[in-house]
Amino acid sequence: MAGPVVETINVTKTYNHGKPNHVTALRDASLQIDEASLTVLKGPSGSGKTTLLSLIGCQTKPTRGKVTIMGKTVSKLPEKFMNLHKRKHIGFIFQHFQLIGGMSVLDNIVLPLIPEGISPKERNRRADRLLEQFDLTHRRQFKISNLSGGEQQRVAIARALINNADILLADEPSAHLDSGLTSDLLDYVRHLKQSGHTILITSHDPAVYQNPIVDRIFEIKDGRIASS
Amino acid sequence: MILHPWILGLIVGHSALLLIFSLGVINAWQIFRGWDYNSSEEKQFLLEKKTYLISTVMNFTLFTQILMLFLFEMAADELANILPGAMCAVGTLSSNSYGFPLLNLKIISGFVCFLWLMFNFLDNQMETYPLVQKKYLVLMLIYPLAVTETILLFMFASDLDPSVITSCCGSVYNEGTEGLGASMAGASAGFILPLFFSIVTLLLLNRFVPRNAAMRQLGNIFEVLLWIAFFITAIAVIISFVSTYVYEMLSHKCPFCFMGAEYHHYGVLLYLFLFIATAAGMTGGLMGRVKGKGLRVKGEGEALAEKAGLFQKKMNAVSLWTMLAFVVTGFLPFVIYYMKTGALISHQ
Repeated sequence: MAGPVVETINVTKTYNHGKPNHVTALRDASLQIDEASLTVLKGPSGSGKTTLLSLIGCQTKPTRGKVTIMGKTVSKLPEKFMNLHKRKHIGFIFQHFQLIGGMSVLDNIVLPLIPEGISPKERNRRADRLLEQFDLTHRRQFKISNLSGGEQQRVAIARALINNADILLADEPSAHLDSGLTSDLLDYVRHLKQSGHTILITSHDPAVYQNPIVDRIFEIKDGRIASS
Repeated sequence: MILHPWILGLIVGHSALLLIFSLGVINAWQIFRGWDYNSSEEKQFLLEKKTYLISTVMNFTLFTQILMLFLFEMAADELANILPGAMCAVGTLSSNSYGFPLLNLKIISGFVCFLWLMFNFLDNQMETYPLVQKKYLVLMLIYPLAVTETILLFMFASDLDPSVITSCCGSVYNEGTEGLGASMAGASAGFILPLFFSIVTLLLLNRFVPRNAAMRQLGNIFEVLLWIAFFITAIAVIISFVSTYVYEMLSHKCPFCFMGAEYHHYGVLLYLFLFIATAAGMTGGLMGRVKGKGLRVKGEGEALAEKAGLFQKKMNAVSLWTMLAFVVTGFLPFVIYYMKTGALISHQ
């Protein structure tokens, strides 16, 4: 698509707005992210990285400002339409993966397709392709709680990709991984970028943001984008 | 009487609805005044959040307001057991001067609430809230109806007196007495049936005859007016013609008695078709108007016109089929009677 895939203009997010315990996690954040690029949001804990990622990931709405994803101003959309846009374009890898422990690998991966009304046959076909891609076919029916950390990470990536998302967002994906698994993760990210996905990662891990595959880094300090 | 469970239930229900409605209207005013869709400022985001909440709450409130009409009829029917002289809901309603005005107001308010719900439904299908200010303006205009309805209910309930003998349906719907009911009961079948079928024919012609855009817009307003006329004449047909064949008596023309179990709730089905046909028909006309206006605006207006057009088609289909169902159900007793006896009851 022409123009940036992701754009935020003067975005501010205040939690508990109007209450004594209100916190402004992000102030006037403006950025642009191009298609098929890898961008890292770096900064210390509590700087506002996850808040910005949540806003771009249509998980929440800003208090002020504009968020545009794939040419649509999602910050202005009613919740129903924002969720539809999110399901269509965005895949999210959470910091703690947020997989459902009691369910199988297959069931976790196909979960985002259920609200789309896609048939079980098609869901399984798509999942099998990703299981093969991430070398998880032999774990298809395993429960999540029986997987290693690295396998769980791959399941989380597969789940984020199941809806053919254009944009992949990852919140501190290497926070709980050793250096070997971090390297594997970056390999997957490289492949995804080469296949045309736009990737945005929050991280304060130098192994991630100093990697040569990263196209752009935004540094966030005290809720403001300090440099890019 | 005010402490009778049915009366108490109605008063508590109406008061609660009015309270929620009042809170809704206060918020509707804030949204109406402060709305600026193009703004990405904090105030606008708060209003966008608010509109979601208010439209959900008002959906519930207005839907319940419509249900209260049926609850009111049931209450009136139940109260007939303790009012001397009353045989059905008519006796309760005619026991004081507030009963029938309240029923009429409830019917009008029911249709208006239904139209708002449909308007709100359409707005919620859109990404850019194109009808927000209009729908809240309409909501504020409906509010006085709800207030008047609650006041009338209080007056009606406090004026009910079980020691006063009331009129039964036989005297209210008797062509020998005075009043609107009596006039409808006395209407000649030779006049009311051709009038009714002329309106039905006009409704069909208005829908199926091709026209240019300007005429279509006029036709949409005409359609709403025709559905109102359809509803009124249908009530007159029920009282003056249908009832005669349901009760198989020339003198009994009550439009309420046949809702009871002894008539297998025939009237409930009949009124259900009539109300749905009228409400859906009027919605179809209004949606046609929204579609026409939307087509004049590029971009979002066209999207609105498309949604309104789809909705109009659905509503038109619903109104057409339920109108047909009403006609079939309404004339069934006549057909059955004629097949059984080979004669007509009506002498007019």
